[in-house]
Amino acid sequence: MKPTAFAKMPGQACALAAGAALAWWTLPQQGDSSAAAAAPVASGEVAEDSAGGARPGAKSKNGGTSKVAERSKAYRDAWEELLHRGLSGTELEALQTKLLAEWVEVDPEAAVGAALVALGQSGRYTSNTGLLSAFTRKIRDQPGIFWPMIKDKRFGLKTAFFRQHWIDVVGGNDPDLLLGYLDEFSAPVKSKAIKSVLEGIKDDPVKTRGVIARLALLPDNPESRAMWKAAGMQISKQGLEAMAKGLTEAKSPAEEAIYLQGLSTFSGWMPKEIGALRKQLESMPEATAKKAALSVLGETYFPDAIIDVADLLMAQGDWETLSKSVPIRMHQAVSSRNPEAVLAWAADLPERRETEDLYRTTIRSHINEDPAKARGWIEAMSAGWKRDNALTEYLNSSLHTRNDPAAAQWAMEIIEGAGFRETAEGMRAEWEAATKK
Amino acid sequence: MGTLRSNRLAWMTYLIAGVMGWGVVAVFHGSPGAGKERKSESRTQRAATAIPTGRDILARLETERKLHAGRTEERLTDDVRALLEKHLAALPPSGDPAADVRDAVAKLGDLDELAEDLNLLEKKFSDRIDIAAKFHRWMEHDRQAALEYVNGFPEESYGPLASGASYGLELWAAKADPEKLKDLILANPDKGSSFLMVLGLGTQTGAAGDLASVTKLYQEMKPGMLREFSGGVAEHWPVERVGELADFAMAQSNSFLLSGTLKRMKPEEAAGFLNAAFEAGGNEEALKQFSMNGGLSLLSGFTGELGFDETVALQVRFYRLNGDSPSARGTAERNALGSEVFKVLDRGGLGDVLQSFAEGKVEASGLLAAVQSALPELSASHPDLLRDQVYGAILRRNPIAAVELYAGIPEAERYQKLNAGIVYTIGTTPGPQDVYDLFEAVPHKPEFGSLQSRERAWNRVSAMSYSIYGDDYIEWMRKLPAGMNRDMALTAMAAQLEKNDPGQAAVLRAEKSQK
Repeated sequence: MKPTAFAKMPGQACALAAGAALAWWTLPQQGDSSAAAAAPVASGEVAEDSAGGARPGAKSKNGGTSKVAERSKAYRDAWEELLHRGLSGTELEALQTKLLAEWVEVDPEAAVGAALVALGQSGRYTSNTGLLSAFTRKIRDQPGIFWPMIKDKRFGLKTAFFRQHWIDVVGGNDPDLLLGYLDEFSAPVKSKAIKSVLEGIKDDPVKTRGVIARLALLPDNPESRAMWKAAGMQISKQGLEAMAKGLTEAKSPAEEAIYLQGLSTFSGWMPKEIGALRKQLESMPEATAKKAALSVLGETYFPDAIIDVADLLMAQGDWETLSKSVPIRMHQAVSSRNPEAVLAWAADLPERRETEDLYRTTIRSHINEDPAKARGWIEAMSAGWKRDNALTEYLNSSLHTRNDPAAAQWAMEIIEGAGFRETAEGMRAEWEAATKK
Repeated sequence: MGTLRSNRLAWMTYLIAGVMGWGVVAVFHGSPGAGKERKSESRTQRAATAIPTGRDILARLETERKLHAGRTEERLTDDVRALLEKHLAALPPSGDPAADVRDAVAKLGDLDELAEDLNLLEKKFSDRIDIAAKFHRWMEHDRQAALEYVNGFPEESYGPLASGASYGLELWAAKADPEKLKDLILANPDKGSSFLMVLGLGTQTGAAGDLASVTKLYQEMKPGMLREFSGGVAEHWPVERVGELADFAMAQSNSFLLSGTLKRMKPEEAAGFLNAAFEAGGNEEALKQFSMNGGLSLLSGFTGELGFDETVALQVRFYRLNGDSPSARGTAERNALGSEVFKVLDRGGLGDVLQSFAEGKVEASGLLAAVQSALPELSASHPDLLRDQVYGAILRRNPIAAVELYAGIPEAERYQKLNAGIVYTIGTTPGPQDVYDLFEAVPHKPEFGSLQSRERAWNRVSAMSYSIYGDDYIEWMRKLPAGMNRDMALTAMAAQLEKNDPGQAAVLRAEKSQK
């Protein structure tokens, strides 16, 4: 069956190829086809003039324009014919990429517009950069010629997809240049641009610190804070030592905030390096170390890191922060990870009101995992604050995790300290109230 | 902010250059960029000498593509291997194989630039063959030093391996003494270079056809090497004894090896082997592993030769490994049919019709008829399912025109199908403007029941569009005319932003015309 057998409106093919061709990518909501139609000619002229080496003003406008238009049309004809060759997706994309890489030299706007339409129809927006890789070299050589298209959103909504590629290429090639465009972007795009810049210079610590210092000079407002956050998340990949160094040497609160974000992000995805956290914290001035510790605590789920933070808070005598912020984190961290490593640490915790919750959350998973074994462990402890507290947790866990009042009663009878008995009775009353419902 | 400001000046210059003519930049902007601009100029100049027609351009591109097909592949193709062997034989003797490689890589130029430019990569092909040959010689001369050289480049960068050395390494590994090769692999694990050596070792071991040495090497290889090793073994194992290797793979629950081995069999042989494994019992774990590691898509590819019903029956057996599910057969049928429809549209010569449909020159019914005549048996046995699969495949190309496929069914049912189509489109939904236009063209009516399916469709569109277009999507949505679809778009987007930006979510909700 020949494809022509289905042709509904044979005339439409010609109309598309000729008149509407230049504006065919323009989305309906844009409406303004005149600007879009004129632009390729203007940008095409650029290529023509530089080819001829003519100075601005001394060029033969009409001759150049028609030549460019003619050449661009040849590429569009080739493009359209290619689409109708019935090629497989892979083969089509390979040829389209080759074609676009040449077309963009002649008429950048037409080439980009065609690529974006094709990407939309093939649903390939999600692949890395797909057809847009054809423009990488041109963007790197002449980033400025694409800027008016991006700024005016010449391709409607689809422009955003091209803009991201442009940002990535320019950021990787000439970070300073991209920073120069920063004011032109909306807030979320600014953050993307920052990420791209920092990604581009990630192997150069001196440049990275220079960019961070410059970002820190921005006025403190929500938009800048979003950029600082993006910057911090991006540089976190450089590791603990780089974050600690940046933090210690930070010259302003903004710079500090960026490195704290980096530290925080870093401690969330974690590293073999976390073993070095204690050393890094100890080498910082006291106030800086506290901020660093809290930013780690905000993200990390690694018991070792939490222990380092807790030790630092205790060494600094900040019992309030310790009792308020650490237990919940410890609870989340040890509920699924090796509790043995933290049991030994818990055994040395100072015995005071502010560490009561922390002690219980630290040993909690040990009890939950194997209550019988935990009972033996508690029985072997000498009487006192830690045994009472362990019994309290045992009671709590027997009731609220396993609905086992008999086991809870065993614990209740052994608890000696009046304060712990009171806590335990409160837990039991809570459980009874909940089970009655 | 001094530098920021001066860079602003810099980009202003670029901007002016963009408007006035690029030549101005060379005059005003004597930065390192100026050299690059000249490169572009010379390219443009070359292109300017004659104005070819579209046909000329396409013919040239296709010739180039044919000539260079395979030359940008990661693996050595036969064509490239022959060139490399010829070049290797003609290589003049050298006293310093290491320096030869370094010089050749330096001569090639900016590796990252090459990586991004397919045309340039192809143009420099003979230089890459030269690197390949010289690297091969360095491997023969001092393999550890040669490996350390390529391993010294960061994995994510476009290093010498990707600029030709990989061909030399692959050729070397295909012929190297297996014991030496193994030691070298174990001494240099987890590098880009080990991939090719493991493959080479697998290839050699497979070709030798000795199960004892396959077993021994599996014990020595590291987990990250199993895929490549298995691939090499399976691909080169003597084809007449392939059943033996399949039994071994099944007994070892080695899904990589099993997949590779089944690919060497005819579809009916492979299906027979798998059915027998199900019936023999005791292979559940191996079969599960196989289905989780790409086995099912391998089966989908069988449909053409094995027949639809048999392929589906076999797939259902796999689905039931994880518990009986009433939808297993339906899912298997959809997968098998979807894969056939894709094949016909992508490689079956209907690409032109599909493109004409996208451009509005061919109706959806015409496209469906073409698919039906390409798949006559399936269109007779599963007419509705085939229609659904065709709809899913063409929806993105022209959503409003695709509606015609459902012209014959009741309105309410059609409405549900359209909404579901947006949600289940594989890969990505159509662009938001297309979806909006479609939904406006087929509006919700009270007799269709709840709005839920359309809300789900908008949720899908929001998630996709926001990840692609970011804030521009929100801006676009706000500019839509007031009405039900704009409201649903706002609601879906607000729900998505709720967690990270409750403030903006509230603003979007407040913009709805009907609260």
